[in-house]
Amino acid sequence: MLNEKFDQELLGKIKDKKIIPRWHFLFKDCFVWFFGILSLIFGSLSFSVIFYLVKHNEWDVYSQIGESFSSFVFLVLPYFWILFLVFFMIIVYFNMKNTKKGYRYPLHVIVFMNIMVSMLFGVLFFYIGFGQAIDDALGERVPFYSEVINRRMNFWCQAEKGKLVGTVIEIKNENSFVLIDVCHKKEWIIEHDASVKIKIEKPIRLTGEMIADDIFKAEIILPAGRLGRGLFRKYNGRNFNNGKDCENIK
Amino acid sequence: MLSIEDLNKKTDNEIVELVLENSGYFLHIVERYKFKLFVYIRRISNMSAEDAEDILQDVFIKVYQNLNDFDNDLKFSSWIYRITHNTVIDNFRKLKARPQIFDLDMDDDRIKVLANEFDIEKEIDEKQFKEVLNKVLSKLDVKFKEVIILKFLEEKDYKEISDIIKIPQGTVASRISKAKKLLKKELENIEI
Repeated sequence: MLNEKFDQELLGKIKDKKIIPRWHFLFKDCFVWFFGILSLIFGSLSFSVIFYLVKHNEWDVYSQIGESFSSFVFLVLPYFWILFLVFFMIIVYFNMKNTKKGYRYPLHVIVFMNIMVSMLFGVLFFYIGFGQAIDDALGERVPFYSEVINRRMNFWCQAEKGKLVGTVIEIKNENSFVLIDVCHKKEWIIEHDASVKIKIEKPIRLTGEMIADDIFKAEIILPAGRLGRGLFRKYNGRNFNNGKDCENIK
Repeated sequence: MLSIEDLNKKTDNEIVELVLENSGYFLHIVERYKFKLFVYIRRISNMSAEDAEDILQDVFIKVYQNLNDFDNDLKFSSWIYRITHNTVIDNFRKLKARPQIFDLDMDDDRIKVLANEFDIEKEIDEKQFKEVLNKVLSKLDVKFKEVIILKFLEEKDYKEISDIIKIPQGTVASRISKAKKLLKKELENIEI
């Protein structure tokens, strides 16, 4: 049984305590909601970049470049953005669980709602142009862009495997031109069929064969498309030191 | 100050409003809940009466300090049970121990209800059933024990249990169902 003096002892302890003001709890709730919504926005932005990268991938040319569909998907899947999306979805989940009524919803409902809202806003952000803007901005500023953020660029950065991407900086004659390889920051002399018309400063992708350290024989020449535009802008072909690190070149 | 009769007519939520205006009414909340919570603490832990009393004091201090956090969408009883549950769990975390069933402290009617609920096939009298249930419950995982105690001993419905333990109602239902199966299996295997 309870001690008869329980109430008195309790009152003695409570005497020095104060009721915590309502604003303290409101602030805590706002903090949880604010970070939840912020994470949801970041997750949606990640989704908009994923949507942008997937939409503008060269689905029509993978067979021409000697890859099966599954290995091509595996190679160019935007893992970085998928991880980013998952990371923010986990934060949203924990924020949701910490709201006053978040515990009432089971894991699968929160995850499903989270995915749906991220997709909805992700598509909206994509159509506003955020997906492209983020990809362009990171391409210009982030050093490991082609290796980590947009692996589709890295896929084309394998001269020894017959794939090359870069910008045309000089046309030597109707069968050859000079290309800046944006991944390795290096100049290449490209030999090609005279029927292909090449324009200066045009970002292009090539398949073919590396026949010397700086000579590449092109078989297929394709426009670079929209992906990695920031990277092309960063290494626009001017003031380029062949084979050297060009971190300072804009 | 309102008279005891007037206070007794008021709901928990109305009393909370009164306490927020005048903290002197807090003792009325204590009077309403101290015995229920004391029994609940003893049921979900193996604490002595003295330790349970200390926990109960902590519970009421937390309730008092956090009254502004009480959400009117909840039943006050769910909220105060939640604080009690969390305080007991926190205490065990501090001691790095696990809560154990001490004594189910059931009256005969409750024992009959539980015996029917578990649909025991063996012939077993109520005293034996209580002993066996104590033994079997102590073997169960805490997450199953707590729902069984809240459902069958504290007589809380699924929504209240969900609000107390902060898990979805579907999870409450599945835990109760699994706990009942485990208990029934254990009860049937036990030597009587």
